[in-house]
Amino acid sequence: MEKVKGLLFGIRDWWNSFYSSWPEPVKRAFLPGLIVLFFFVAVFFPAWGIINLYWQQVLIYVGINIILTLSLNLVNGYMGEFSVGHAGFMAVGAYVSSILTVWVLPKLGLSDYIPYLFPLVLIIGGLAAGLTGLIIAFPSFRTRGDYLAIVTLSWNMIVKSVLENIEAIGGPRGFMGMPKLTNLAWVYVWVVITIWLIRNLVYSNYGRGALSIREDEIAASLVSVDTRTVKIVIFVIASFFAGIAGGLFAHVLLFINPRAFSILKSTDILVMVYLGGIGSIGGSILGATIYTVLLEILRPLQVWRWVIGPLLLVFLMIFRPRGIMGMREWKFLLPAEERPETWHKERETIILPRLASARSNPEKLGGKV
Amino acid sequence: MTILKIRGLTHYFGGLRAVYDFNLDLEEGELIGIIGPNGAGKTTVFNLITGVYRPTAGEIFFNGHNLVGKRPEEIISLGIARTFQTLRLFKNLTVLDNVRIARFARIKYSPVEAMFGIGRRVREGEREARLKSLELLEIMGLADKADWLASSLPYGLQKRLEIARALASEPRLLLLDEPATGMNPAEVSELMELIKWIRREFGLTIILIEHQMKVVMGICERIKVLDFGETIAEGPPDEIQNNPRVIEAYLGEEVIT
Repeated sequence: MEKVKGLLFGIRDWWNSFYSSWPEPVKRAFLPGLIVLFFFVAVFFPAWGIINLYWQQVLIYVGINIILTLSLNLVNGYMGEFSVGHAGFMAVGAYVSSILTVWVLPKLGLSDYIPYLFPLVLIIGGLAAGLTGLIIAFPSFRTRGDYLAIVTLSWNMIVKSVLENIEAIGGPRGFMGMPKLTNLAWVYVWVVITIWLIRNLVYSNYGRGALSIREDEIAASLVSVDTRTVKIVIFVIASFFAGIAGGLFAHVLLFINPRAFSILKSTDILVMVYLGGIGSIGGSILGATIYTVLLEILRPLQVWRWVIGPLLLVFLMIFRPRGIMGMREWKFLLPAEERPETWHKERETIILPRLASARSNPEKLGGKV
Repeated sequence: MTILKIRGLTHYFGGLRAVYDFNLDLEEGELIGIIGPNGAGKTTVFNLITGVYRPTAGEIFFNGHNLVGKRPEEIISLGIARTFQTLRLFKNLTVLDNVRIARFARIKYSPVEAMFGIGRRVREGEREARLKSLELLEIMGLADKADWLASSLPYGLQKRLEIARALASEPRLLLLDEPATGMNPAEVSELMELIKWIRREFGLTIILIEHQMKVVMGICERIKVLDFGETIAEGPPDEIQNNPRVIEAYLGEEVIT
């Protein structure tokens, strides 16, 4: 264990020193370049047969799980609330987008355009999920504390029962007939978009508001944070992305039934959030990837592999309650303005001159202030 | 100009009377102290002003706005800021974020703008918040620790950070709840200088709750004394010092044998 740790830290240190030796333009082009490179990998490797169908499928699930984990991390990690029914919002997105591609679009005579309309379909699915999120958020955030867990738990169950009892969309037998629209390239694009949007949100006024609610809600409202608005905004955005993930999920599986969106699915997402680490984008990516791949590797264990998830959660809570990357972030994910270097530079170039020219300055207090 | 007007403020916790018939007329630019033994209801007055509790009876007017029934964030946005008796920093956040959060109500952009991170309102709003916060940190001598976690600061600096956070929302009225607690005499006199300085520099009106007589007597122009929720004396420091009811409240009744 110690050896592994030493190796990992060694790799990190080597990388950090290597990275800092690059000239500035190369550094700036590194991340966009990497994103574009991976896009071509996602497009061409499957086409050339370098990644076989099985691993394509696994990677698609990894991507979908990254979106789910990131969005739940907004609520549970950044805001410190406890939502346990994320699969409910995923179900809304999955069913709405499936109904659109199976019924609505063909009826409008747009069958040929469905592949091009897919992003729009996903967004509509996401908006539907966001709307249900809004309906949930309004009553449950009026009270404080653990109510959200109870409300979201029952929400998940309600969604499942409602879907099981609507015969028109297949009831408990499920819904099928979706075209296979989700492929590795699409999932990759959506993952990148999601990471980018959520990154921006987290480092905005709303993200800071969410963090302050996690730290101390009363103190947050006493430094002017509109806690009610922040909670609703964050929750709705999280539901929106769960809906997107649901739409992608439906169009890769081509068959959805209410059981796929049960509490078990929500638990999986929770495990990924806490495994990767609360309040961390990098952690969400790691958590989703590790957990999804681990479950695939453990497939020979059959039913027993479902013991792994809960067990993992128990050990995590004991040995590393904040997860792999709890409240830390990969540096390359930080916006330039959020890096301490920038703050120190702004201090030197803007703040100190401004204060020096001020009519009275703290120096007059004998340097004590 | 009267900035804060409180009339007949009364608050009960169940059957316990925490504050009774509290009245106050605060002129703009004044610095007044509220003193009293433990449990006299001093902090409750602050909690009532800032909307943490809703008063059982009474009226609070700040700058013409009725504060009763408003939520804390609305009251703070009107231009009141406070610090806490026990530190309530956001411990796991950076020093800069602690201050920046207090500018929440001053930054105006929608969640969608925030997500796309583009547009003048986002860029300039963020930049202004960052620079204003850095400036306050510089004034408080914390700027070189902007990227530290608040919990890693020593106690004295945490106190300063809390004052910086309170100032970040650009208040007109500052409520300081026992700022000198846990400080040694040297730190206390430094704090007194600091309070005087920020008052002058930011044009603040200040209400100060304090246990340490040295602080209150040294900088306040007017003092209110509470005991069991009731105002038992009010006046300039030297008058309060010799008031028999105040001495009684603090030291106990003289026993005549």
